[in-house]
Amino acid sequence: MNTPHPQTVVPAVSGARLITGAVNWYGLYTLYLKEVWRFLKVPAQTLVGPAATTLLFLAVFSLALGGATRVVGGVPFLEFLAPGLFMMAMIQSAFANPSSSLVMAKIQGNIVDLLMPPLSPGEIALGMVAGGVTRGLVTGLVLFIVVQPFVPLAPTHFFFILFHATAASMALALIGMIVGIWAEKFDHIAAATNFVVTPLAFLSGTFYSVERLPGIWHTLSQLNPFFYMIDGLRYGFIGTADGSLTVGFAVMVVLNLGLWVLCHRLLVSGYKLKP
Amino acid sequence: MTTFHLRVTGGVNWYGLWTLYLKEVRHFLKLPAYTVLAPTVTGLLFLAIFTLALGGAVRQVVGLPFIEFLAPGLAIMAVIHASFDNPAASVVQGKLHGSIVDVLMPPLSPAEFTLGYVLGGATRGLLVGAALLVVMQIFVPLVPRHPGVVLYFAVATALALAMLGFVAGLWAPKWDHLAMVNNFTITPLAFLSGVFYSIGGLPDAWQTAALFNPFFYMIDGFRYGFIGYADGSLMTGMAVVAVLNLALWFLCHRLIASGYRLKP
Repeated sequence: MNTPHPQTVVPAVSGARLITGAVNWYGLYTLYLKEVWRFLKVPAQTLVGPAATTLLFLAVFSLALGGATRVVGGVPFLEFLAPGLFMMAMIQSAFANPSSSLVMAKIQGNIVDLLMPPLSPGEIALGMVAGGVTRGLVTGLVLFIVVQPFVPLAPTHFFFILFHATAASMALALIGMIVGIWAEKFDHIAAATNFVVTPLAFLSGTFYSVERLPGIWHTLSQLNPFFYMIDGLRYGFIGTADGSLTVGFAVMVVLNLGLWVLCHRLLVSGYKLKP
Repeated sequence: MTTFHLRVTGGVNWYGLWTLYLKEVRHFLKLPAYTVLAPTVTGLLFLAIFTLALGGAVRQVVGLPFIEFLAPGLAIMAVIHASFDNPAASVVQGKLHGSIVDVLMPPLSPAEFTLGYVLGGATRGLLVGAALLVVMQIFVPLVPRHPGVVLYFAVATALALAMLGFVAGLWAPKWDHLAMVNNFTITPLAFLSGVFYSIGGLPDAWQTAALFNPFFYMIDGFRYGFIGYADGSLMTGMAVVAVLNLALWFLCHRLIASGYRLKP
């Protein structure tokens, strides 16, 4: 009577997953899709909003500066400005997706839907970060298309555009993920966005060539990782860079690796997610 | 036997109005990092990037250093966004959470209902504007030359935007709709209203278009109070914002009286 039904016997192997192989591809794909649908469902906020903001910045700067005639870094100011605006929007989008997803799930309690399925810390991180990277890249692409009628941009170095767009989106998605794990309320995310991400993005050389800055500001700019994201992407479009491309490349790789390790460790430890 | 007391409120339910106003003020004071500090930081960032990108110290606009021209416009732009946001977010949240009944059930007339939300929004706008003006003093000395003009345009702008936010909140079924209103009307109208440049230097078509933008008069009038120069006519500006406020008040009142999107 007391013997369990054969079908309910679970082998007592610790850490064994019954359904999947080494990687739970199906679960990973499901998490990724969930993260992508999140932003595709509200395009007015996630895609049209940044596009409108970017066009406004272009309009204001060309009206305020007589943009067509002014030359920065050897190209018309608007051509200098546009890639920086793409990167700024990508940075904010890639950050927003995982961070708001995690905090919303924590507040509404549906975080269990993420913690219960047989997903390893690496798979959780990958699914959410891939979602953020997708949003960043889609946003960048939309902006590139929308801006074309006003500022014709011909990509000259595809590799740099692709590398910096992906590396920056990934870094910001990882930062968004870490902030989302830490944050308990939307107010915390707003604080991270308004006091860290936006200032670093605004002061990274989107709107001006850092060459022109006075001494200490010039040095500080070189310590801002966002500077290398924008500078590298801009190099891909206009063929000139304010800083060293090699340093930029290295900074991006190291930054992403460091963030991956941190993010993975946080998920393994269960920090602020598990009791 | 149960006895019922009829509460008599007189012509105006002052206590109810005060309570609603307090609720609206606490709505934003609970999140000061988001509602007051963030717009201040954004204003300072705009000041920094425009000054750095434009070589602000040497560049002159209408005979003034660019930064002195820019700073008052940034302050009133912050007023615009904050005043709009408070009632809009509060009404949409009330509708989504269902807590709007707590405002619909009490004995508040349509005018009291509207006034409570609008005054709450205007309070936030003025607070944010004042905070930004104080912080900007570090970088650019701002002394109102015509305090009366500054006050008139600040209050009229805050009230008008709070009413616009109230109407947007009533209309919007979800957050996404509110974001749309912000992205496609408020932000573009504010950005293109002459905060960042004197419309005197614009091509003719843009100049004419700016004269049809009510935000232009708010910014122009407010800035006149500080720098003593206006792109347009000050009298026209005062009249435009006064008429705008009256029209919005009637619209709000009618919407609430009719129960638009609030009552079945």
